[in-house]
Order: sequence, then structure tokens, then C-alpha cells
Amino acid sequence: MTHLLDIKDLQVTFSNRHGDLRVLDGVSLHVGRGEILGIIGESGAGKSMTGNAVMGLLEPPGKITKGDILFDGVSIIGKAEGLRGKHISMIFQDPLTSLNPLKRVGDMLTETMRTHLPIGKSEAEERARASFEEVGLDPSRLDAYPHEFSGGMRQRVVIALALAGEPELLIADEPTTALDVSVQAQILELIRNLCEKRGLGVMLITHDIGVIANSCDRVAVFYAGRPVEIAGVSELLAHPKHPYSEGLIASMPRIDADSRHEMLRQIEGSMPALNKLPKGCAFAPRCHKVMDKCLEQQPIMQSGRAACWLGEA
Amino acid sequence: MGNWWQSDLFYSYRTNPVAVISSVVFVVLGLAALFAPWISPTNPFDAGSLNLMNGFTPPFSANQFTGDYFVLGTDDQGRDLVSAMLYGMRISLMVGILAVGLAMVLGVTLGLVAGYRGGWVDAVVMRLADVQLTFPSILIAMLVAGIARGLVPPDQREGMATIILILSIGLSDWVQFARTVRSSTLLEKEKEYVQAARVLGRSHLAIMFRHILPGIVSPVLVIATISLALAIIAEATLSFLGVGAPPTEPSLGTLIRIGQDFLFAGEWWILLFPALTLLLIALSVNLLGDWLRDALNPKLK
Amino acid sequence: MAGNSHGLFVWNGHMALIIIQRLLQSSLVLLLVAFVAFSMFRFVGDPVENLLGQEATLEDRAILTERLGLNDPLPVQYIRFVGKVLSWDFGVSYRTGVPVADMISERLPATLELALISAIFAMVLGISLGVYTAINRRGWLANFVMSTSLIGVSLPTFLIGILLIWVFSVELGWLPSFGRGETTDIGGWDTGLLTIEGLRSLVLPAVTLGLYQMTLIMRLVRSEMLEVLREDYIRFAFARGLHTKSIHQRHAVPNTLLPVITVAGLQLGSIIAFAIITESVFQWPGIGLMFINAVYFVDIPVMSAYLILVALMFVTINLIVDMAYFAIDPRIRSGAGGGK
Repeated sequence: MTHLLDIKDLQVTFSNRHGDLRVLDGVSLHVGRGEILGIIGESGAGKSMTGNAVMGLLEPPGKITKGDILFDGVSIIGKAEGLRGKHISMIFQDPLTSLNPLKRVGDMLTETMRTHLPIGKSEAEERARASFEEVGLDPSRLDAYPHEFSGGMRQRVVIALALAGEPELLIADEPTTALDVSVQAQILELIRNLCEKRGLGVMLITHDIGVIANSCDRVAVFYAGRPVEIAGVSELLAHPKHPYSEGLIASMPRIDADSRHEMLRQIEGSMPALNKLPKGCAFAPRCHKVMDKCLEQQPIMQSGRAACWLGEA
Repeated sequence: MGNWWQSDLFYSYRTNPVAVISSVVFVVLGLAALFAPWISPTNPFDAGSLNLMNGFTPPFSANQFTGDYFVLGTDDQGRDLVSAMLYGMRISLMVGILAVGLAMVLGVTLGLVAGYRGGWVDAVVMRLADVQLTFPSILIAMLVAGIARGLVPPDQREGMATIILILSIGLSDWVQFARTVRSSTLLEKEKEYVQAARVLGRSHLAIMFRHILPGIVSPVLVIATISLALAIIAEATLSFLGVGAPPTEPSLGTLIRIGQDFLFAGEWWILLFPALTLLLIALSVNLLGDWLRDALNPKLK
Repeated sequence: MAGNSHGLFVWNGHMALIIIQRLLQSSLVLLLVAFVAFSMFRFVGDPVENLLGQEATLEDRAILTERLGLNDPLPVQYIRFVGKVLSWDFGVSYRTGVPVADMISERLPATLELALISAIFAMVLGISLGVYTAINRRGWLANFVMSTSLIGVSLPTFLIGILLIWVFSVELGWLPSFGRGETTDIGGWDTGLLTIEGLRSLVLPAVTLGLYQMTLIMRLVRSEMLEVLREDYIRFAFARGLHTKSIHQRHAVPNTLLPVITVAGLQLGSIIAFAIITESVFQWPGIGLMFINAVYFVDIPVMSAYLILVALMFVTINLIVDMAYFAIDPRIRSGAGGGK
């Protein structure tokens, strides 16, 4: 069976006069229809870069230097422009700045629909009303300008816009980070619903393990430009295989009784700069289970789950 | 003001070819203007030495009647263009520098007092600045020139022309200084060394000029340089329009005004060389000002 | 969209308040300018002597002094001056003895047509080139335009005019170098826009006057557009697959022009002032040429009338700029403030 999105051994390099910088290396992952794949990691770990690479929106001098991106079994490297909006769409962190302040949201919606679908003006307006209802907004507000909505409502508008061309895949780059905590859950629930109802594949980028726990099916943990563990969410939460995943989970506040006595744990140190990666495993300097081998050789993904020498020992 | 910024400034200067070239151009032209009476081939204002037969001699060739040679040619009266330009530059630069000096003294003083005293002084000065800023400075300069000419008896207008010119350009250009100095003063005023001086009972005047002024030298220097380019162009414009330097003491702008009449007849050099000189001066000062602005304070825009 | 509750011009209290505030500010500026103009008339030279000449008898002088109301207290004179200005009476030219108001109405069309055409030239070309150079930031043509514009900024207006005359009138002989050519009188408005000769005469002065403003607007639009192209909403527009062309035209350009309006408005104001130089180079019979002649001959009534007229134009332009913001920016219209 072909996956909706299949990234194979992707490498992205930024070249300038000082040399090459591998911002992504050995990224392999896939997203199925109706599935939410969470991507988690610290800033600079390559989460957003992966999303931009799929969208074909890498800013120069960033370039894909190795590997492949398959959409529905077909390579889309260099062809992403034709797929944007119609097959793959993306939403960004800040709904306040994601909308053109000078245009009515309804006009933006019909504009996007008519770019991708062979429909007339009146049908587009009809669909705009339907899509507003779908994302939980009052269709009478199609005439309003972006500044007349609250943050959470704006993110709903953004989602409606991203889905206006009826794409099969949505890349959501930190869609709730800029929102109030109370609104975050609503937006995640909306994404979850759309995913189930439309069979939409979602790549949900976040730095918040709580978001992953609440809404994703599977999760890819990124560290220093590559995934270090990919697993089902419940599996990862219960039995993390990579020490970094373990650390992430330990840093998550829990509601259950036991944790009240436990201190929230932080992972010590910080992620190395991409131009100063150690020879072996990039996490080795911070790892409390580090072995000699880790400092020598870069670990490879074990049985499609974790890139760590521990699993082998 | 320690030595450190001077060395930083010098480093930035050495490594910036545009700054080096434009400063060399400006210094060479400035020296030529300064020493015009000594290096100029002829005295363009000595009517007795002019030979009308030499009129309209083209550049780079000898006059067909007299055989006299003038590098850049002559004007209608047989006046050597190089000499006329050297003396013209002298007037252009002198008016420009004195006008900027006037604007600077006026603007810095008003800005300092407005920023330091605040209250109604500040309100009056800044309102005045706002209203003046509504109008392009060249218009203000023309207006001041017109008023000044009106206040001077007609038979003295020619003799006072240069002073009127300096006055009108200077008065049209103080606002930039005042605004910048005021906002810098507001910042400096709160700093500890000024507060300390106040506690020690120094007089307001001493605090303003001994403590605050040295701290705002850099922005004033930058504005002065950029203003100089504008003042030189303003002088040329006013003289070109006939309300600046008189024909008896022609500046580059006056020479261009005279040259324009001969353009149609094909005597292009009478206009071209003064125009190019003016451009060279304005451009070099402008580029120097740009460099100085970036070098002294990257945030000042 | 169904329903149109957010029409382009919704008159709400917020907007009315701002406009009233602006009108008050403008009137204050105008009164101040009128005071300067009044002081010029009253104190620069002796108006009686200027009007009658030096040979007038004492009796004539006394009569005129009384008639001009110069014996009244100064505030009364000032108020009378303002009243006269409001009824479009600027007194009599010292040099020609003609009412200044007549001189202005005769010459105003020439200046307004010149300024209008230059403004259109500067705006249209400046905005298009600015947008073009921003979109094709790395293209050779864009870079060439940018470097050329640097020279344009350092060239004084009168040299640009002379240069154009030299090339297009003297050397090539394509276009006239002075005057308005043939004009047509339409209800008291002397227009040069209806004859070929009039239009040909307009080309060089309009380009001269507009070139500097054009370069400024172009550089401003370019840097503003580059900033807008980095905004999130442009990235999001790309992400949802809108066509590049429509992203540029419908999303980037309107947001670029918004902040440009203020500066462009001020630039247009200075076109009126710089017309003095252009009119002088091209012997264009407008109010700018009238003003510089007045400065030369110290014709105070003409100078003060010109000053008031120009201030009026500036204030009007500023008002139009403010109104334009209301029309374009929905955030200001609803009083939400520019939330970025």
C-alpha cells in the first residue's frame, strides 16, 4: 500500500560561503490517510524544515541534496508548487499574522477555492458558507476582516482557508502555540475531526508533548536534524526507546496522582549547533545512558523505531 | 569621548573605498577652491585682462583668432572657464559651509534648550519645526531670500547677496539638527553623569554645553555632512534661479545659469563643466555622509 | 458575499472625530501661515511706498494708508487680512499693479496641469518599478534600475531639466524646450492637454519635475514590498496554492501601498514647490515662475499669496491622505488601530 506522504532518507543542506550546513539528514517517515503524525523536537531540530521541504517552500540557499519525497507514490521534489493548496496545504504558528489584513476572509476563501476547483462565483460562496460551518464559524462573518476575529477564531479561518482547495494532506506547523491554553484544545479537536471526517492526513509539528499525547496517532521525535524515534503515541508514551524521548516524556506534567510527588525533570544541557555536531550520536553529550560506542558511531534507526545503540545491546 | 571610537572610525574609513575616494575628491576640490586666487590661471574678475576675441573658445583647442589656449574653453566674454570654476567653487563651498554652520548653531542650541528645559520652550520650538517641516526646505530658503531682499535697500542687494544666501539656506535647514539634538538630549538628560553634575550644582548652561553636548557630537556630525550636500545644491539652485549669488561673484549655480543661454547655440562646455563640478562635489559629500552615518551609528537612519 | 454590512465608506463616530481633529489642525497651520504672510506684507518694506512710488505726495500717502487700514491696531489688520484672503483677495502686485488674485487664476492652470501630470508619472512609474525591482530582486534589470536611481537622487532638479533640454530639444530636436505650446480656453481654464503641441511641451517639464519624486517613491515601494513579501500571510498564500501573480497583485501590493500613501502624499506636496525650479528652467508660465520673479523683484503681495496658496494645497493633500487611509485600511476604519 502506498502512503499518502512518504519521505525517504531526506537531506536538506544550506550552502553559503562558509560551507555546507545539513539542517536535515536521514529523515524517513510517512503519513497515512486519516492519520495524524506528530513531529516533536526542540526549535532548530528540523521540524518546520521538514514541513517546508514537503511544501517546496525552502528559503534559498536551502536545498534538498539527497533522498525523495513521495506523494501518493509519486516523487514531488521540484513539483510541489502544483500541489500546494490542491493536494498539500500548510498552516503556520501565528494566526494573527497569517491573514492578509486588508481582505475580507470570505473573499480570501472564495479566491482560494476558485484557484483550485472548477467552480463559479456563486458556488464558491455557497461552499465558503459550508466550510465556515465545518470549522465552527458563523457564515454571517464571511464579510468580516481578519482583525475582527479573536485568535482562536482566526486559526479556524486559517484552517478553512488551508482546506479550501480540498487537499489530502495538511501540514500544521505549531498551530496552537500562539493561542490561549483554553482555545488550544478546541483547535486540536477541530483538526482531529477534520482528519476523521475527510480522511485528511495531518503532519502536526509541535514542541509540546502534551499536544502529541492528546491528538496524534503516531509520533516522530526529532533531534538535531533527524528523527531519533518513530512510534505509535501510546507505545512511545509507555515505553520510550530513545533516551531523548524518555527525557521529553519525563518533562511532561501529569495529572495522575503519583506525579505529584515527582519533580518535573528537565533534560540537562542544550541541543548542539548543527555546525558543531559530535562524531557519534548527536544526543550523546546529554545522554545519561551514554556508552563508548555512542561517541564513535552514529546510530541508525533500529527496526524502524529508535536510532539508538541501546536497543542493540 | 575616548580614543576607541576614533580608531574604529578610522578602520571603517580605511576599509571603505567609497569613503576614501569621495573624501579625496572633496579634499582636492576644497583645496583648489581655497587656493583659487593663487592657482587659478587668470583672474576671471579682472575685466581688463579679458579679450573679447577669446570668447567662446572650445575646450581642448586653441582659439582660432588669437591662438590662446584654454583647457576647458572660455565663456562669451573670453573668460577662462577653469578660473571661473575655481572661483565659483570657492563661493559655492563657502556659502554651503557657512549656511550649514548657521543651521547647526541654531538647530543645536534650540534643540538643546528645548530638550533640556522642556515645557513651553520645547512646545514652541517643536511646533515651529513641525510647521516648517511641512514645506520643502528649498521653498523656505526662497521665501527667506525674498524677505531678506525686501528688508535690504535695493542698491545694497547685490553686495549683501552672499550673506542673504547664507541666511536663507541656514534658516531653512536647522530643523533636522534641532529634532535630533532634542531627542538625544532627552535621553542624555536622564543619564547618571548628567544627574550627578546637577546634584553637584553645576549651572544649567554648563551642563548643557559641557556634559550633554559632547555626547551628541556623532549624530550632529552626520547631519552636518548630509546637510552640506543639500546646502551646496540649494545654493546652486537659488543662484541658478537668479536669486542667489550675483553675476559679479558667480558661484557654480550662477555659471550654470549663464551657460544655459549658450546651450542652444552649441556652446555646451560653458554649462557642462560647472555642472559636472557641482555634481562631483554634491556626490562626494553625499557619499561621505552616508558612510559617516553607517560608521558612527548603524541605527541612525 | 451576501449582505454588505461593511461598506467601503461607513460613516462612524470615530472617523468623524478624526476628520474634525484634522480639520482643526489644518486651520491652525493655515492661520499661522497667514500670519507669516501678513507680517511680510506689513513689515517687509513700506506697502504705501511700494504701491505709490517715491514721488507720491504726503496727501496721497495718507489717503492710501487710511484706505489700507494701516492705522488700525495690528490684530484688526490681521483679521482683515485673513478675511480678504478668505474672499480670495490678495491685494495688488507692487511690480505690475495687477490684482494678485487675477495673476494666480491666470497662471494656476499651468502649474496644476504640470504638477498633476508629473505626479501621475511619478506615482505610476515609481510604484511599478518599485514592485518590479522588489519581485525580481536578483534580476540584472532590477539591479540596473536601482543603481541608476542612486544617481537620480543626487542630481539637482534644474540639472535634470537642462540635461533633458540638451538631449531632446537641442541635439535631437524632438520636443519643445520652453513654454506651454498651444493652449485651449475651457471656461476660464487655459488647458494645454487638448492640443498635440501642448502635450509635447508638457513632456520634458513633467519628466523633470517627476523624476526625483519617482526615484524616491520607487525606492520606498521596493523596500516596503520586500518587507511585505516576508510576512506570514504571504507565505500562507503560497502554502494554499494561490498563483504567484495574484499573490503579488492582490495581497502584496495593497499592503505595500498602505504605508507608501503618507510619504507619497508629502512627495506630491513637494512637487508643487519644486515646480518653481522646473517652471524657471522651461519658462513655464505657472505660479512657480510668478513666485521666483516675485522673489527677484521683492514683490511682497505675490510672495505672500503664493505662500498661502501652497500651504492650502499641502493641507488639502494631507487631508486626502488621511481619508485614503480610511478608505483602504479596514483596521483604521473600525478604530481598531493598526494591529500588526
